[in-house]
Amino acid sequence: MSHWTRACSRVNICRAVDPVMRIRINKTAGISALLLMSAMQADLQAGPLNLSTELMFEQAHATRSGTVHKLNLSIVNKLDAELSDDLGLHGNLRFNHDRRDSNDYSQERSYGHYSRPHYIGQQGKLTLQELYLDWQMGSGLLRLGKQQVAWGETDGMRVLDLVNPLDLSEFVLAPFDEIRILVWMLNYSWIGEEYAYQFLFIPDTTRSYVPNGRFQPSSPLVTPVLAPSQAAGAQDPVIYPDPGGRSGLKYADLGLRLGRSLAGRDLNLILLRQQSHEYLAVASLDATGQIRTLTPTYFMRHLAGVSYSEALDEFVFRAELSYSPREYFYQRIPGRGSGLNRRAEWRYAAALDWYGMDDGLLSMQLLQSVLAGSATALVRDRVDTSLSLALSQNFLNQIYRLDLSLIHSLNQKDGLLRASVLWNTTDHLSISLGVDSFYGEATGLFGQFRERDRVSLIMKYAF
Amino acid sequence: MCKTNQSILVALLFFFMMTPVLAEALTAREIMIRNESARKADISEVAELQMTLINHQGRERVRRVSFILDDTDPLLRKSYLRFIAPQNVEGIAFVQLEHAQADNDRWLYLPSQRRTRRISGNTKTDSFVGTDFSFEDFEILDGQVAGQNRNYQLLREEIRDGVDCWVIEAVPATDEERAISGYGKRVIWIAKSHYHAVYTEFYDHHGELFKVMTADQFAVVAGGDSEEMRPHRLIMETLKTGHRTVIEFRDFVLNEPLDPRMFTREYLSRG
Repeated sequence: MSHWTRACSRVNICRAVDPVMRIRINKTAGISALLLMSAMQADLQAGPLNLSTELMFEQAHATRSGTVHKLNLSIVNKLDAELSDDLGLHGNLRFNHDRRDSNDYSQERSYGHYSRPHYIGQQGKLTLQELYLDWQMGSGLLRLGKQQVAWGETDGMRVLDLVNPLDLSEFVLAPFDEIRILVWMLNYSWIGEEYAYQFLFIPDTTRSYVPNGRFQPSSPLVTPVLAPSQAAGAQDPVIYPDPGGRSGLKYADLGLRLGRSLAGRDLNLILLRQQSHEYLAVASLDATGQIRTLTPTYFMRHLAGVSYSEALDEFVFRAELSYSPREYFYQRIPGRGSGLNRRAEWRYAAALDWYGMDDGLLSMQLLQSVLAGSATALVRDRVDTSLSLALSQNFLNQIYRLDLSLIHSLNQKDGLLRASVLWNTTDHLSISLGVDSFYGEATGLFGQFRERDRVSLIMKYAF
Repeated sequence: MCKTNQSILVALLFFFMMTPVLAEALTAREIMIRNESARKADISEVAELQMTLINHQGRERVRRVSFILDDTDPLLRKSYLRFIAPQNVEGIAFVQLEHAQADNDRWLYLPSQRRTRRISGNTKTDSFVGTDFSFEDFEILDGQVAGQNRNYQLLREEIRDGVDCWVIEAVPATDEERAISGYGKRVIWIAKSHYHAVYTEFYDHHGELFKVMTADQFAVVAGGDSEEMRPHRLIMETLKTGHRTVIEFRDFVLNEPLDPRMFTREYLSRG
């Protein structure tokens, strides 16, 4: 499944490299630390401290060119510690080394100061993915640290699942647990007799990571374009680098959720104030109407929403709805290129799961975004609709699993078709083989990557 | 159910166990009600389950699960399950609230996504996390309430593996129950000494035997009554595939006080 739409609304601007911001650590020391943790875990599985390790090898080939897209080795060390009856500590440290991808130091400003990965040379990356403290206080739980929070009921639709920014270095092809970027936050939840409450305070300025390179977006839906007359002008517009998210309490994200489960139904009400995770390029024009500058800008978002789920015999209905009075979209400036326009936006997603197959699940989802007012000048349509279909089937006591999924945009008539087979060879080793195929015009969100079809092999060893 | 009532129930059970003349006069339905009482006489059960999945070639996969049952409400069993190992499933958790009339509430928590989602409460025949047990096997299928949906017949009495048993046939009583159950018929060997099932045959809706379950290693459990026996090992075998699952109960404790919030979606979402 994917995190399309909002996930990709970021511009295709080369970012200035700031050598001061480069963080390098000793390569040997980093890997040694990981291996030491891996070795220690054998003795620390039991009791209040638990360490576990996952080794993952990924290889992806472009089906059109036959070239290797990805040749990545990951080591993930996880820590779970019970410090006392009421206190727990959880962490997750990840090392990546991709022979087919170079670290893009210019992207460091996507991350908040304390959230940046540590680059090791040109191809290695060490990331503190997760580190939080759980403090149980009666019916309340204070979770403090770098973490993720998933709101909403649908898969990948990003109507209410907006708390964490996304790592789009592989667009939406990476697994769920790799695509969210975890951020530093205060997360307090309280469970009452009937209702549950959750409050989030997120001072971390980390925003979504959109790559330059292979999965750099180019669709006019999410990137500014210059009209030929403008592009042929004597003076190109000045393109400012990504300034990163604005810091300070004034710009901190705040979230509030009220939840209740009653008589086979789950209901959540959500309020969210956040600095958008993806920047948009604000164009300034000179006296002749030419675009002079493009300035990446993160806008504030205020959003209210509701999510709902209910089981109906062999079906489960899931839905979520959001309203945001101020969202920004690219519009066409005749003869010049792209500008921005503000609109109120309603978004909703509805999903139906069918559990009628033995050990299988069929899910259908509909996502629709509706803008207030006219959309004549906008690059996108006033009503934007996408559909998804996903089938997951287990075989032979979950030794094998087949996953098929299709995401299709009715407006752009583009989409993504995915298929994979997973083989759990043992409790520790799994192997999966997958195919990802984009289709549609290059102007679409999925069609822009139609040359990026690939087959991939993933091997995981966990211990 | 309050502790006093449970004590009375256990005392009655003990009385009947000691009076074979009275027990022999029991009907099949009465035996199954006592079977339920033997399995539900406590307010809670806490155990670590080791599930060993063994294929027809003898290859094993092992899963360790923290398993908690709350039976304080006789009409509403609450279950909580969380995977402890192996690492690729660690943290996956599941909560089920049974209902006498409506479908069960079920939620599944996936730690990789930090997401809890409601799943269908009507998928009784699905494999339970890849084992040979189905979700239905973990529900209370017989007894005072659930037994109203079954017709029972006492087939015979016989000695099985040295245990004196009643052999009882249980079939769905209504078309609706037949439609949602994975079993067209069960034949259950109930031990006269402690009212637990020691062996069960599961037949599909075509009358074909497709699964058998053995319960053994009966022993007294910490926190329970001194006469109260519980099986510490269950073996379920799917005859068609030759695959079987062995569940062993470890650190088995009865009547631990439980936090009722444990059986909520919100608690599950905390991971």
